Amino acid sequence: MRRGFIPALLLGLLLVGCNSTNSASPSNTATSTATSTVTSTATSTVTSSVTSTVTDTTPDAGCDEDAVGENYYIQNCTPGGNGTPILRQIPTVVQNNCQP
Amino acid sequence: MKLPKTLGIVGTVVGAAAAMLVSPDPVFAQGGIPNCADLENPIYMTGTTAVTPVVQLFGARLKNVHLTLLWNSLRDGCGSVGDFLSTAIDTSTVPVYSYYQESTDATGKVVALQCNAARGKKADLVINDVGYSSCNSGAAGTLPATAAEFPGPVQGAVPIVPSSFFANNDVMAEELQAMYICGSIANILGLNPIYDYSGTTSGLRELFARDIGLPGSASINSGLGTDLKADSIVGQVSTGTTSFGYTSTEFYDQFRDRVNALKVRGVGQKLAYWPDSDKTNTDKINIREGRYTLQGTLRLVTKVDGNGVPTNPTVKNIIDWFQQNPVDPSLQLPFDITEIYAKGGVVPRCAMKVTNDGDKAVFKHFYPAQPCHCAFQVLATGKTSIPGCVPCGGGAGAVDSGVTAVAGTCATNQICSHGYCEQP
Repeated sequence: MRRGFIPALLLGLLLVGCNSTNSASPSNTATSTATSTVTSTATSTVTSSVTSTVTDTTPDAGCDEDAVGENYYIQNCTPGGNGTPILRQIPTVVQNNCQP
Repeated sequence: MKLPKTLGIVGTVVGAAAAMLVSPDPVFAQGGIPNCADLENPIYMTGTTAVTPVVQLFGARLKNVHLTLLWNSLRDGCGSVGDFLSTAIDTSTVPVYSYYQESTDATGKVVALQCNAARGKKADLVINDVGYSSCNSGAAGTLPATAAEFPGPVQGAVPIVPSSFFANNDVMAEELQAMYICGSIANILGLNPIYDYSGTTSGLRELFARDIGLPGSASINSGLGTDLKADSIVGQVSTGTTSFGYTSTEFYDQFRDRVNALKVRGVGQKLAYWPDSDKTNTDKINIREGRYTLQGTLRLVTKVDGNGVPTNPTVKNIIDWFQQNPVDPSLQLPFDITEIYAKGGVVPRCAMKVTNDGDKAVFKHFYPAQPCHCAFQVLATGKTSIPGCVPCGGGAGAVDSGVTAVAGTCATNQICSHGYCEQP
């Protein structure tokens, strides 16, 4: 059906083009209205009260590194040892693909 | 009193070889170098060069109890384990091993000698810096069921600069990453050239890479690898003015007059630390308590039976001695290996307060059953009076610490261990 449509359209345009006037005034109006209303109301009240008292008397109190992750020991459980701060910035050369 | 123990060791360890107690002179091969097999009760060991100072001291002491510890470290830690596990037999060369004995003069120095092993002779025991699964060599992976790794003492990896270099005395793990990934182009602290070990056979390189926060040595610039050893890298660094490398605590302690150690701020740390409490001390306190992050447990690798027991009984004894396990009285050494470790630059597990799983610098608490914190501190520093250390003697499980133990009373929550009151 589309094969016949295009030659016919071209023929029509050709015929129109041969006319000196074109009084055709096509008009196309479409109206669409959609309305959607969703109303949702949720109410939740959770009340939780936990009271816990733990007394850890071991020398490493507060240093349960096994429970909190890889670098916890280094960051929190190693005081002492005559450490000194380094004031330089961390180099970015590795992130820069070895560009200084 | 020591002599009967010595005889007991030999009689038990070598069994039928007791007739060799009075050792004949070695039969010398061509060139004046004896055949290793002709030496008194030889045990063939190989592995990382890093631990050679400990092996030398231990070998010289064992020689006094009629065992000859033979040592060859030409193939590094990982390479040696690979050779040990391989079914291939290399008969192309004559393996040369070193063995050690104390000098007969009053210096007490260790004399190194050499012998020729039989072609294709494999080692009985290998010492590696890391677990074999961390090695970068082609065959690395899990050990077969016929071999096992036993944890030994703990060593540190030490970034070193020439003793004349004073521009900085510390370095960050991130700076070490930049230096060993990018090389001298990173221009960290003006240090150049940068020295490194073999990319495929070195165990120390694997330990270093993981401890500075890299997945493994495969991340390191292969162009830096010049196949140096832990001792020769000290020589290379010491002869420059801005040169840089890393060695083991064992060799750093031997050459503190030639190189300086840089303090290390590990990944996630706030401060930088030396392995020891200060530059002149040898107490390894920051290794023992987990502040110095460039550290790892040495692995002892050997063949085992279906129960995981070393198949070579002499190797089993050596591993028990290395691990300070309780042994039959007839096998009790007439010296304390804690002293060997303290003088050799490593830390026995009984003096450690932290441990880690695998070879990464992620630590957790460690409580040895028979602690030797005080004994190690005394032996490593030479200080006989350590605050908080009370000498004791005769307690259950007490081991001769090599220092004078006097009678004492330990607190109720303590035990007498290695000659001092310790909290287990």
